[in-house]
Amino acid sequence: MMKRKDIFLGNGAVALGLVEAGCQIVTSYPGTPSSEILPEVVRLVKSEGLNTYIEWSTNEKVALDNAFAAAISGKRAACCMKQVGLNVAADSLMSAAYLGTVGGLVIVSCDDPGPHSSQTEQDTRLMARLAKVPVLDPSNPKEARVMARLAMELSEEFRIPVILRPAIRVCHARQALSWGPLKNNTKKASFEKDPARWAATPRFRFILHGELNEKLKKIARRFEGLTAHNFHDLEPGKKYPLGIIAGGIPYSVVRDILTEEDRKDIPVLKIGTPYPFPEALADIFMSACEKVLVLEETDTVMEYFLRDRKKVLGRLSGHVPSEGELAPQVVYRLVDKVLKDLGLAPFKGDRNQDALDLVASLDLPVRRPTLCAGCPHRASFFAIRKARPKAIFTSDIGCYTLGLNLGGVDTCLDMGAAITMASGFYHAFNQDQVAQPIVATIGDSTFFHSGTAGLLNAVYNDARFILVILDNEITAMTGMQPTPGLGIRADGSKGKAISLERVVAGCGVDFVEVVDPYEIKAMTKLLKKATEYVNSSTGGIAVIIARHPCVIAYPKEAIPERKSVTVTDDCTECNFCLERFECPALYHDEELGRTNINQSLCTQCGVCLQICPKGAIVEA
Amino acid sequence: MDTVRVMIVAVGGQGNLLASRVLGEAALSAGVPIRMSEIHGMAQRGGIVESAILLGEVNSTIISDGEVDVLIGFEPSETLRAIGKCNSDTLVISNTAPVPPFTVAIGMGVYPEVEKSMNLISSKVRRLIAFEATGMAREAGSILALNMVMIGALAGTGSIPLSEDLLKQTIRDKTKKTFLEMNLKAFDMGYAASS
Repeated sequence: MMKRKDIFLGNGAVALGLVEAGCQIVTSYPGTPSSEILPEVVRLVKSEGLNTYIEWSTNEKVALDNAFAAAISGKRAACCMKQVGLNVAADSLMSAAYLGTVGGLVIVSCDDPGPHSSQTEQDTRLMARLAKVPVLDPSNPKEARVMARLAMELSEEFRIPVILRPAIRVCHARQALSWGPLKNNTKKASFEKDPARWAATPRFRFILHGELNEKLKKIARRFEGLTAHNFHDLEPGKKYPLGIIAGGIPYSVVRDILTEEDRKDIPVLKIGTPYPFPEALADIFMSACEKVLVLEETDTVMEYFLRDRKKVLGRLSGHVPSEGELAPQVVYRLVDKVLKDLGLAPFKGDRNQDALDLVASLDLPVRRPTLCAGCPHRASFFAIRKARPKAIFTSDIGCYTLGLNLGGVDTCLDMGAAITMASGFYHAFNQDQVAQPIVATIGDSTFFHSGTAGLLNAVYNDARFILVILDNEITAMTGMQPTPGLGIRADGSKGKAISLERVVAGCGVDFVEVVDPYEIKAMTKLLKKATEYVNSSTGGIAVIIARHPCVIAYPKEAIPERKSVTVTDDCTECNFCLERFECPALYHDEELGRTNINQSLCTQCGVCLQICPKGAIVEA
Repeated sequence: MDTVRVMIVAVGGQGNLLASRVLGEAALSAGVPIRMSEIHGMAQRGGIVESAILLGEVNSTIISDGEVDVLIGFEPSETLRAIGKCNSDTLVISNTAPVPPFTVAIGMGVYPEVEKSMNLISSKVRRLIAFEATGMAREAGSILALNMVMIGALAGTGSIPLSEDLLKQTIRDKTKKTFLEMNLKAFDMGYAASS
């Protein structure tokens, strides 16, 4: 078969590298910017007819444990997640590093400098350092593909989990790659019992720790000579006033800037393996430069490994910002400033500063993300605020975090915290004999991810609150991945559907009711019934499952009967609908002097027919 | 070849990712080196969706301030918001049909006057081509064809090394067959508007 050339998303390039490496097991939990890796594996596996086992796991720890078991059966396995997902999988990662592997185990953890779509800007490379496992840092999709293969080979050779850390600008870049054909890895599973390793007690853990340290020394030596990913452009014998050490996206950015500015006087050391750090290579580079500027995302990793602190310019010296993305304009300005500070020729480019100042001075209206027109969550939040206006609203991670625009979200900490913070608030207020109403909201996928342990805990410790599970039958925010509730698996095949009602009842909850949030009156009534239950001496936690399909994933099922909507002259411009319902299809029409419907955005869900206090929103 | 940096700014749902994809696939079949980047996730829910298409040999897929050669704005206030990415030599193609942000409806901010916005843009760049592209898309069959109108307009300027024929062939190969006639009509209308 011929090779072909296609444009791959960065996450597709990672998927391609994994499949090319003969990866037999791939597990993942979706999260921006990692979500497309598993679907891309599915696409390649289907088009090439491979027998790779693929699963959406219920969370990242579950994904890593599953992949780990495959890897100690001698197979090649990978699991993919976003950087904060690695926190969930950290327990597994730390231990797996000590135990080691038999086959290959690659953990892809995608970072989100910015952050664009995450709760922190944390740096996966620091997690790798903490766990004592190697980490590879690609600077573009092409390198991410090669590094995915390399990670698998290193893992199997040194029997250690290896992390691949693409940042968001690698994940969501696109690049043309030649590829194909792909073939199955026929390695069979075999598990050799060795309790001193696979079930090691603390005494054996000490021995395994020593073994891990030895592996790292050997890998560090390998990285010193890994010229495909670690390289510099020093001329032999030449001395430079300034050099730059960079990795990942900041390398690509600074490389382009130096080329555009025609600056051959500034050498660059590119590092693709930040840990274990190739110290000898860095020493060679450092000794040729009077000062060295370190550009890395998002935290300080390489900078700490450079021992000649007096030469180093970076975050610790205040030359590089300690938060945010190292976007091209940021890098341009900071390098230009370093050049000026060192008395070197500055950059020549004009950044069009007056256009930037102009835009800043215009105070253009903010375009904040909002729930889609027709979204069932909007109806849920409207009913919740109507029924329990004085409640503390704990919420969670997903599309419904946008319920904060509707005044329906007061807290968002981490996956599952809607429930655990609800019980925390309950006990904090209850201690003072204050009956504080609390309504928690969590999505179906997030509940399956991290909801049950918190719910069990809350029931066991007699907390009182209403939990609304916003069940739209999909993981919507990250791009419509199936949930266990749906019973559809990653490759589209049928799995066993898990009943939310039964899981909730199994956690010891005695009040479990299902409602369609499009029926705002019914949901409001149910919330009042739930309140009575929560407040009664024999009551407990009340769980309402607000079930209605996502309007994007299932447009037909979500709106089986379309209702054309219009606004009458009864509208008094009170703006209640705009502020409390916040549907993108509603707007204030200056000319008509009333609210109006943007028909091109309206999904004709008809939910807004139930909300106007003056009854001015009617069927057309 | 010289690098050509194209940036598309739009509002979530206006279809700019498909527009970028068409440009990317066309470049691939013409043998023009191509790199692209886009934003996914939370930003897609009614926020600003920005994509970059870099034709030629480059490393980075992100475009710096002042570096855009061709800016395509699917929405006039978003075109204005992005002019910091342009320089005095940039070509700008902008739709003039507004999609006011929701925040304006509840009194948070004022939507800028379109004509004034276009004049401001015009004063900062080499050339501005501004027209009511949403209306053209509607005429072609659906406002969803806005992305094809805008690609057509880009082709009409001759500012990228991808020909009209090649782009139309890519639309035939890579977009849904049910919308093909509408997409090609929209492309032609955009092409006529800028050439």
